[in-house]
Amino acid sequence: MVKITSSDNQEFTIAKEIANQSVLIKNMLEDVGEADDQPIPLPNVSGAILQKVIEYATMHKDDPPAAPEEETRPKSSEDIEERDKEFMNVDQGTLFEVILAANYLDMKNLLDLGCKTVANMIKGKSVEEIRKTFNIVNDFTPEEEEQIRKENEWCEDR
Amino acid sequence: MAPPEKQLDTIETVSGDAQVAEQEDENEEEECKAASTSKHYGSSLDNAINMDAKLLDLTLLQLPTEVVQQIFALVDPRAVLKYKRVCRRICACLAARHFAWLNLRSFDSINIDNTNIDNISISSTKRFRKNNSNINTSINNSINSINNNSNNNSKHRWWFLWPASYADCYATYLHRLTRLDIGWKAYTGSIPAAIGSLSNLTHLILNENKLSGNIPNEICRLANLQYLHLHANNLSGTIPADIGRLTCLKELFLHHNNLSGQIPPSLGGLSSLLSLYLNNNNLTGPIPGSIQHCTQLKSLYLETNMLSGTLPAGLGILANLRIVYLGMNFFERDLPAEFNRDARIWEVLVLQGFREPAMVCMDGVVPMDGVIETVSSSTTLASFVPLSVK
Repeated sequence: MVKITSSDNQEFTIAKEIANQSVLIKNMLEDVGEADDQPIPLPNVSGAILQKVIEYATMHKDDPPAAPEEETRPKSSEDIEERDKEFMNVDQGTLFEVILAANYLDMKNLLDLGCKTVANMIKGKSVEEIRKTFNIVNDFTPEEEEQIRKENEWCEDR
Repeated sequence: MAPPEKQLDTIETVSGDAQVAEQEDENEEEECKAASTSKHYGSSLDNAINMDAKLLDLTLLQLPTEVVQQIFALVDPRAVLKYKRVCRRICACLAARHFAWLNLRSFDSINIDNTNIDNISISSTKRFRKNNSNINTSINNSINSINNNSNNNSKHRWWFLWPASYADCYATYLHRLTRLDIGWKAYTGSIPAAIGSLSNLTHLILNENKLSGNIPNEICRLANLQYLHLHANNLSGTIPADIGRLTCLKELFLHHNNLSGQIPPSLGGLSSLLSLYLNNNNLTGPIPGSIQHCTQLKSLYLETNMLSGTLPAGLGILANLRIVYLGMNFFERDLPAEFNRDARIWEVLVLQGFREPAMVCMDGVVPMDGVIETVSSSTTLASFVPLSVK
């Protein structure tokens, strides 16, 4: 078993094969060696998000190991398992926290899943809809925006 | 994994939001939002110890650049660049050269307009993935030609529209290509400079489209090129200065465009050239004397330009030259004295209104108005248009 602690000092005890899904933790475990039972601090991940991440890792503990990057099929954001879709059915704040945690913990599959989920929220939307969906303030001057619009006119309607 | 760079991104964004909200001073909610994100940012530095979880909503723009890029890379490469307009941060993420590579890597997973993706993209993408760093060594021989059979919605049309970062990347997918045959497509956009890296290309057929802009000088790097058909587009600018480097070129078709400037003197380097069509442009200046080195030249179409000067005597030594159209230009009618009168082309020129050089007498130059004066080059040619007009 492996002990990890979140940024808000919550401690989790998890099976090693679950912990190893994070390349970051895996490397840390290899560095400190088997004997050490000190909890691993994860100062960039809150307890709530860590719990969510562990949930994902548990769900996927029996998955075959990820193929090396260059051999994987090109990613399609349409290609998401039903259970993963359900797992990602969370509010935007949590979604981005999970993505950030996956990036930090170096969990490729979870990061991919998060990115696909957000990409699906983007696809087919107009620029204005994107701003609204993600609460983004347009920080271009009207002239700048018009310039960019012109440069990319050919893809505006797609 | 959380380098300071990422955090900087976040700071910029958040302060930007806050500024805008402050300036507009109209939307309290927005200020709240900005304030809360600022707080959150500060809190993440302090490991989020004292913050109320409700205020911690992370936003898309607070993700690290590489993650934002990974997300947008999953969006169709033909549509994603419109999102540059969303805000500065996203614009910067999508404008990065690296982003083009990420985005095009997800290329063949995209089902364009529900049509089958043509072979070229799939096999070349596989090749690309297999050997990201050394494309040359991994070869798929079955695909070396793109022709008119491919679907009209083919990705190749996007090549003419994408910014250079995409065009460069796309060119590496097409590295093995020997024929790029996409004429009569009504494609718009411009010819990417990256086309110059398709070093195996023998046929570059882009005629009868709506391409505009310059002919990139990089095209002159295509050392194996035999057929360059760019006619009947809206191309402008000059004929690339180094065109003469295309020593294998047999057909140079640039007619019916808006090309201006002079015919480059490097023309003489085209030692394999059989047909030169530059008619119906706005070319000025003389025919370069170096044309005499195009010894294989059979047909020369230069009519309907603004060319001027005396015809080079070198035309008279081109033994294979049969067809010459020079009308609707401003050439001197007098052929140079050293012009070979036994050349087959002599008669052709005389019929088009050119005449023997003025006789030189002991007393000086006496102009001799020849009997063929009544034959004007413009009337001879006005009724003759050798190729289809766009």
